Amino acid sequence: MLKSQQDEIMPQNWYNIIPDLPEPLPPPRSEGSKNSSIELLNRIIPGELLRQEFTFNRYERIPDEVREKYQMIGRPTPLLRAVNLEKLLDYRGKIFYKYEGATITGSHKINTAIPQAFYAREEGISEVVTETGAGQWGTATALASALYGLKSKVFMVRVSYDQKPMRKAVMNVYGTEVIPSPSSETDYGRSILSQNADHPGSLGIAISEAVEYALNTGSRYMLGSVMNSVITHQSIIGLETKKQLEIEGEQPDVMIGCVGGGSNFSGFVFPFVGNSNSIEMIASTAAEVPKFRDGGYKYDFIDSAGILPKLRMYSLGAGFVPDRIYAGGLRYHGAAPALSLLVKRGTIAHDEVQENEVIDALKIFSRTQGIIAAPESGHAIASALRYIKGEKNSRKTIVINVSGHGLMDLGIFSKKVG
Amino acid sequence: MGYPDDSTVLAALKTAIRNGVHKIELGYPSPDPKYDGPGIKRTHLGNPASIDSDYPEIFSELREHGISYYALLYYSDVCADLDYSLRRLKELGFKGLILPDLLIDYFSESKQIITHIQGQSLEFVPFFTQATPDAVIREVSRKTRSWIYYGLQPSTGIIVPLDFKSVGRRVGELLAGRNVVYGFGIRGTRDVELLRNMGAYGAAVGSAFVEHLRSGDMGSIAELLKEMGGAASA
Repeated sequence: MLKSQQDEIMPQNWYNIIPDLPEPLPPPRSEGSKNSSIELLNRIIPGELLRQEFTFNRYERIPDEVREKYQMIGRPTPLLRAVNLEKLLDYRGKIFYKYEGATITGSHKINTAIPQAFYAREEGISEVVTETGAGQWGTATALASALYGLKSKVFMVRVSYDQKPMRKAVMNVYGTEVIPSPSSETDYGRSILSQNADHPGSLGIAISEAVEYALNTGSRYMLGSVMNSVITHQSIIGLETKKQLEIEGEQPDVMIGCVGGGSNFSGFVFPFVGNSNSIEMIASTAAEVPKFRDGGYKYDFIDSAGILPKLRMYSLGAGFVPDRIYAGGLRYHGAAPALSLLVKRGTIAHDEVQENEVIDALKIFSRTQGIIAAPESGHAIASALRYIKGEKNSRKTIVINVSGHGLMDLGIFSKKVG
Repeated sequence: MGYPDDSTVLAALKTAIRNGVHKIELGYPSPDPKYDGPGIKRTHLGNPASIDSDYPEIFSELREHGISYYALLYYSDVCADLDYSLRRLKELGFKGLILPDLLIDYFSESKQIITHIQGQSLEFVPFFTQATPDAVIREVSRKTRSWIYYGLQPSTGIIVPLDFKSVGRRVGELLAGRNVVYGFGIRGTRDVELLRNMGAYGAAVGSAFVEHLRSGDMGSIAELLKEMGGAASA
């Protein structure tokens, strides 16, 4: 893509929805009366990121150095019309998809990894640490830390670590140390292993281990999802989509994305929420992790050990350990507070999809559009197919966020591909 | 109220009045001080004070010196019988009240509740934070005439990085012409100076004040207030 085209599509600022929400976002809560887990964030998160976490600024300027890196890793990502899918489904409307799988690391996660690593380096930090579920966030962290000369460590949910050796290999190539979680590297990991040596792990446990490591070593913890600052960075997806649709002379009627912690979906739809009266927004989750359907809207811990503050969100409980589903990125027990608030108010609808339906959707999408999407993104595609089935004769413009590619997740087809 | 004990509270109020405090916020303990930081949380725990107690010495001291005083209560603690609580606050001479959880936990009912409170001749002091959306700030401030309480930090007594200039711009734009008192995380004279430069009407000092209350050292309270008062008027 020509630089002039990149500049036209890629925004100068990220968008923060907090000042535009229809009601106040409940603040994080710290349990106990000894120390504040909110104040503890000062010790593990770069200061600039923490400022962005609690800011009311509608727009945050993207640092020039971050914009350059965004271009380097493939931004803006393409918005494509799924013509073959439309034909296959005999759909009279239009289907577009935003393809975040086109980034170097193959998912949207790099959108926030780059600024977080940038802010850490700016503050003189030498090491970052994080967790990863499916491996996409770990990969993004690995590359971002390599680009800024930072040492990095990733606690990878054990079930994914076992299922996805290639993900681990990629992170290793970028120079990151990858540890299966629960691990014997932290007090919390050891306590889990002492109860169950074969524990499959969960994102909540891996987050706790990464945070404990950051607290003990003075490194900085990279936030993968859920938090406002991450969603602000991910707004680049929606802002680009908005511009690309504008260039095409299109307006979305329906926007669909998948939800793990909620960052790709929120980043995709939040820049459109101001027009939400006319746009249907559908958050697709794994039926095995039905946080919106079965979870309560309540204060719950971000991590399983309860080191970090509580957030008000839809949650299945911080101790929730889901089945060993392939969409590791959707196994998180909660969802971002701002997204949860909008789901609670009915501004955003939700849909739950089972693995078999996801696999079928991935096959249809790959055989029509050529892209083998990530299992997580397969939920968004499956929800879109469901939606279209019920709207065969409508002429709605549907936009799907395909948050990543699935080339590292082909094991999902091993028993199913026909 | 009631922390660390009634006589220390009375002595501290007298000290505050002597040192130029204009308005006083009296916080009543809650069984669930959900949005407070650790310092203020400790003042709630096991504290039996309530609006049912008369505290004649405290209130006569405040009235005698013409000090306006406001009650800070969690709405979740008074919603079961709001009318009783409002009557009691009027009897005790409170000018108004602050309900930090109202807009957060009871947003859908908040307009009606604010109207009801103001109908009982009590000021409703809007409590806004960094996370209060612009439209909510505009709407609620239009509905009220009182001064406004603006919480700078996500919780009382804690500090996360903050851009004072941006806050000043936001408040100037959304709350032009209103008296805004800033609270949460005001620790020292530098904070007060920054607030003064932003055109603040006042600074609410909670956690820092409570630390001195705990020690019972009235000299240190007087010193704190003098320093902050000096910074505010410099």
